[in-house]
Amino acid sequence: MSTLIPAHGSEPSSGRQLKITVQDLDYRRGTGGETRPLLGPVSFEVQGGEFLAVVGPPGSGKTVLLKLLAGTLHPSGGTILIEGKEYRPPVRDFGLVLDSPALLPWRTTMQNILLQAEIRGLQMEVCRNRARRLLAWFGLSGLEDRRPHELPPGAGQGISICRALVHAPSLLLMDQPFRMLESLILERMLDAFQRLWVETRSTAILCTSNLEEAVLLGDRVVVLSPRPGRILQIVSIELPRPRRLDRTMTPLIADYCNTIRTFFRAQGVLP
Amino acid sequence: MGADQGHAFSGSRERRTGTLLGRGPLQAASLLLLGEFLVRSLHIRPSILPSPSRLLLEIWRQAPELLHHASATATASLAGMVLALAAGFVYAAMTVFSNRADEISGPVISVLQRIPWIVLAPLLVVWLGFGKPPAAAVAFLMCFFPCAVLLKAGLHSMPVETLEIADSMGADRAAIFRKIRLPACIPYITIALKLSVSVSFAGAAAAEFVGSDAGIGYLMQYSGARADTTGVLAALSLLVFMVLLLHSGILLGERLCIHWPADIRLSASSHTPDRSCPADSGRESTCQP
Repeated sequence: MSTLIPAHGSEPSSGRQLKITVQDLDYRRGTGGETRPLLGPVSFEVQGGEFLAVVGPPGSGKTVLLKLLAGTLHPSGGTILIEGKEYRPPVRDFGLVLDSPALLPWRTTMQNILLQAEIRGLQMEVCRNRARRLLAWFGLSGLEDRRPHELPPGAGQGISICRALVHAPSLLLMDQPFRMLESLILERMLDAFQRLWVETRSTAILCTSNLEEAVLLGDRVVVLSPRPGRILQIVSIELPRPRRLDRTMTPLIADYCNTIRTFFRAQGVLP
Repeated sequence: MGADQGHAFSGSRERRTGTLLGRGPLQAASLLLLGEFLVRSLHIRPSILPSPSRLLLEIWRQAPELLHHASATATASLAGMVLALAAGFVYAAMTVFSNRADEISGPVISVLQRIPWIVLAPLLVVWLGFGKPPAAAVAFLMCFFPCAVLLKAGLHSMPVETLEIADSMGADRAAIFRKIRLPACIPYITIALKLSVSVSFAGAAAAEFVGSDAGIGYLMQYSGARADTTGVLAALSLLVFMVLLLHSGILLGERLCIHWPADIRLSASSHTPDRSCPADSGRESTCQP
């Protein structure tokens, strides 16, 4: 399985780990006098190969932050630097996972994943093999030729993650990707995803409202305040990987979750 | 012919039962038998309502002439329909590639859409002369607006998330059009086709009432003037038969090329969401701090 990621010469992998610097980023909706701040200003840094989790209550601008990074929204102020250079939206060496799988209903699983390769103009055979290995990693082998309406529950999101990784991106952006999953499927998916990430160590940013998920996956967890989202605290998670919800790890994870909860309590988000 | 008609008619049922012929022919045959029984038992005069057997006999006797007229109508309405689909598609594609063109043309289209174009037939005969051109023009005008609206809805029918994902792959507008919008539009194209078939034949026939020396419309007008009920109904049957035949052809094509449960959503103005407005605003704004 460890052959999954190391890029052979022909593999469509940049193998880079992007460092991202966000300075005074803010986003407000509306024009002219009546603007409503949705996010920030926020400043933080993501090291190359770091997994950053962002947690916040609904309305804290987690999704806005991710869309700003993905270039689907344009910031009202502040800058995003990638490797020290200012980010201009058509820099697209990233993989994107949203809270819905957004698979094309007329394409099979494999065709959906390979859309990434088709649009980027990558070598199809290389990507097809990679897609197969990714599907196997998530326990989704055998679903290659099914269309989205024929998939078992929860499989769509796994496929959507495979699609985001098939071109071995140097940055992975995830917007509440596990939000709609049932908890057992979620646990299995988190485990598979974490082991995979440990292999690749691409820079990753995950937005979520699930504290356990954030602590399990994140090297650091950014805690956002209610609207407009500002950074309350950045918590470093000093736990060895792979992290599992087992007997020794679960209490430690719960401790971190409680630490984060205290910030939310101070804001009145939690009682 | 009755059985064939029944086959065409059973199109929607076929999809559900999954059999090729379904119960259509049986139903059509029993309807014809019922008609035969009623007309004979109630002693209805043929000049008021001919029995199905008399009608079929008339169609058989007049077959060559009927076919000549049918082909004239079919040519005109198919020409109008194909042009309307093509023009509708060009319009719909334009709304994808230019927001400005969409904003300008949207209100115009929605006003023009409400004009009952069929009443323009006499004027079109004056403008375009006798025969097929005005018939094709009426068919075109009646088909174009529904097609334009449907195809536009089809090209805009994907969720925002799909477009965001495509964006993350670095897809430009042309790639998104080819890989996402066009396939998403296919179910809408089949709806537009189904709608156009009946509308275009009606439009063409109406234009032939007004000014033509050939076509189903002309034949109905001519027979009607001579109080030849059987002749009118024979012509009408042929028109209905052609529409149903084309309709079942479209259903067959639909079944061959649409392998996914198509989720049809129709809205008069389905714009791509504005880039400056976060797509998640609805979700996030419900929870105020």
